[in-house]
Amino acid sequence: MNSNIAKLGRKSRTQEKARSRGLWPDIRRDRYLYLLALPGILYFLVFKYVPMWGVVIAFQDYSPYLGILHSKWVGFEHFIRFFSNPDFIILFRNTMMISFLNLLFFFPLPILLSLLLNEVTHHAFKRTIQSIVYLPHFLSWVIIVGISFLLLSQSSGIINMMLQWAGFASYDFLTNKDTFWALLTIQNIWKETGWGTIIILAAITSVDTQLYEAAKIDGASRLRQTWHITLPAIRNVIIVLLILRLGHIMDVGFEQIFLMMNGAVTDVADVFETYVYRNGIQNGQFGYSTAVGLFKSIVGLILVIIANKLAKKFGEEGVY
Amino acid sequence: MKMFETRKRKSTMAAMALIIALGSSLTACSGNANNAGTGSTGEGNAAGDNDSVKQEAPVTIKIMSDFTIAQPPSADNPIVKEFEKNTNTKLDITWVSGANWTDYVDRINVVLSSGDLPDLLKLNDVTNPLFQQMVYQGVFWDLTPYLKSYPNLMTYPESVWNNTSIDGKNYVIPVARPLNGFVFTNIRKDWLDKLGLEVPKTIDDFYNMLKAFKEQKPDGKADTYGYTMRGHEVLDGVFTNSNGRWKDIGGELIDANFDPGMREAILFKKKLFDEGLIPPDFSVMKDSQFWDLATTGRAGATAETIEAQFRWTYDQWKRDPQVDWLPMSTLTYKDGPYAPEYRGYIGVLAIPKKVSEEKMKKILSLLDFGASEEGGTLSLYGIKGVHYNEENGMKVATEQAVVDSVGVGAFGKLFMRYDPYMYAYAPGMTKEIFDRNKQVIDERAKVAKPDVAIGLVSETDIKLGADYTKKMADMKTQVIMGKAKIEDWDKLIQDIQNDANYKKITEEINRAYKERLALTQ
Repeated sequence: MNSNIAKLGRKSRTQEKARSRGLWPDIRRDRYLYLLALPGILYFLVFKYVPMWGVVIAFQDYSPYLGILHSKWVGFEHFIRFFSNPDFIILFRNTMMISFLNLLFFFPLPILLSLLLNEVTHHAFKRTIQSIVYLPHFLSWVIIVGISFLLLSQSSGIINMMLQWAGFASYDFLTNKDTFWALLTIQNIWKETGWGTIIILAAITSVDTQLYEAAKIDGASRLRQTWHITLPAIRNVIIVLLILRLGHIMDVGFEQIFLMMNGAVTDVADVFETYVYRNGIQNGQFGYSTAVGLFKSIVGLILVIIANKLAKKFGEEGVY
Repeated sequence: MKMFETRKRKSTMAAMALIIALGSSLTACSGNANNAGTGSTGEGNAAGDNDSVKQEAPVTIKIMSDFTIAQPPSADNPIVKEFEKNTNTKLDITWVSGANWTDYVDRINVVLSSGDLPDLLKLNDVTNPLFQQMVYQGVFWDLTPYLKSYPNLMTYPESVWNNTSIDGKNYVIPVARPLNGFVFTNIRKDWLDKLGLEVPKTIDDFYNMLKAFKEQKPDGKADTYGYTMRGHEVLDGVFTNSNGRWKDIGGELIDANFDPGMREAILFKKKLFDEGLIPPDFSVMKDSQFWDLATTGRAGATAETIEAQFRWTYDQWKRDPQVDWLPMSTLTYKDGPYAPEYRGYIGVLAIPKKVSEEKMKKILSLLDFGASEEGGTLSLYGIKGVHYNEENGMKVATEQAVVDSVGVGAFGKLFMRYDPYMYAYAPGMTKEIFDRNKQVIDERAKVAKPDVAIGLVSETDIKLGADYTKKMADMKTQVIMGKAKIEDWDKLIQDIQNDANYKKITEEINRAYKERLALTQ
């Protein structure tokens, strides 16, 4: 038997071996490539997978001094307490509504802005506009909320002062429950729209220019070219972004809401993240707040899986 | 010659500190032997006993504390050096900004949960849930048997020691503050005089004054609100005639929110809101914005401690020397004059058990020195001739005092001599104002209502209480701003009163209250 194999050509033999013996020879052959990947793998192991075991404190009456090993196990007690809390509905509603408004009004905007920027032919002008719209992304929420307060405050805000000079009554932008979600969405649009165009613009540049030339010969207008060539070409990117976004549907941005929240609007402003902060950090209930966080992550994971399945069903590529 | 001496001592001290730092736990035994003589007397090294200072290794003490002034004391601060010299220690102090108190509490919680504790930790209060857990797990020293040997610390009022005890034991040393002179309403006396009004005595007078401030333009401008709404919880106290969250009714504690007075307080503030006597967006205003209103003549009433109010006044004098903020003595609603009594401490200091007994005693003697006449003066006023000069019996601060962070904003968060009139004084104050403030404090002391529930803990409250408190606070804001009706408040209160968990909180607080009364009487 062995001698038979030995008769086979050297090349095919090594290939055979690699296939049958599994990973190790493979690793030896491509050792430098694997070496390159090692830091990345280590990063994920050390900083993502190892800390993940910390979620077990969601099932413990966790005390930092006793640590994970010695704290008492309480099973699903934290989850039961969370779901039976009447605030759960309010937190869930607020989180979902803020996320949904962002999805509806914020998500399409970077695409629209990218398409508009793509139509700009003057190169220097296009670059300048791009730089300007990226800038707000680099401001922290503290600054943006500060600016909002300066503009919108009733006792000293510029906008209300102008309203009053013009003979109108001042408006309670910051303390109005009805407009609070809109205010958050607008802030988010102002801050992140420009940044969101980066990926879309990159996708647009990869579209084959021959397609546009062909369309022009056929007499397609600018609008028709966008509709029939650009959009279908970047559809895949849009769907991937959408799926990733759905994974973060329960993350509505702690900083922004925490800073904007005040006594008059808590009913509509309190979300899972601010709740976790209050209970976890401020009251030291680490187990309970981890349970809430775990719930958030599971909802996100389920949504990603569903959205990915749907995308595949409709013939798109999905994220995995 | 003197300089040479100090320098020499400095370098020996640095060398010793280094050795201690390197050896850490290993050298603990020998270190103890060296210090046993001084530590156990409880007095530490008497000042000026330079020979013994030179011979013994100064004990390095790691401290975490807060500060509320612009800059924390630097590492080579002369006050720190002076404390080190007097107590034969090497102080390694981490100053954490306490300008935003909740941020400092967050930071404490992080330090507590990390397990990497300094030798002396400044906490917001004994009621800190995480701290309580750790006390029961035996992480901190029970100081009860030791405290008696520190006479200066024992000058703190008994109520302060009682209120900072857990199950009758002292796990912390309070950082004392006077019982009176804390946050209450302050008003523009110069405006009152201009409008020919008396200092308000009752809530109605107070309301009329606010109305006059708004309508009669005491500064000639029409942009005035009556009250900034800073610290407007003091008005709740006036209406409920109680101080803090719990009110003692015949020996039984009930939530002051359930008191009919609270409803009246909300309606009163709603009236102020409806008539434009308070800023319409008070609920989103930051502290600096309240002060902008108060110091630019856009409001005639605010709330602050007597001492801090004067610091603002002093600043305002640069623009308008006529400004006169008067701290009010009392306000009356129904049950006679009311003023709240302060809890008598600004925070508490705890020593973890990992610190050896000898070192723990050393830390106590350091704090005891801080509570002495000499140490207290050093902490609050600095070194005579450098940081302050005596003028007609008053200590007048020099520029250097600001540079070296002398005063309550940093060192006073750690080292404090008990002085009932501490809040009467702030740098730059004239003798007349100082005397007037002392008078106000005396008047408040006659009627001051203590917070009966300081330091009491309910397990259920730690777990669930914050949500109820927040709900009630938010509802108050909404009713005041006309975004909810007073009936909504009534309903919320009724729901919470009937809530099984809240009943449990009330029971637990009452149990703790009675236990403490039994232990301390």
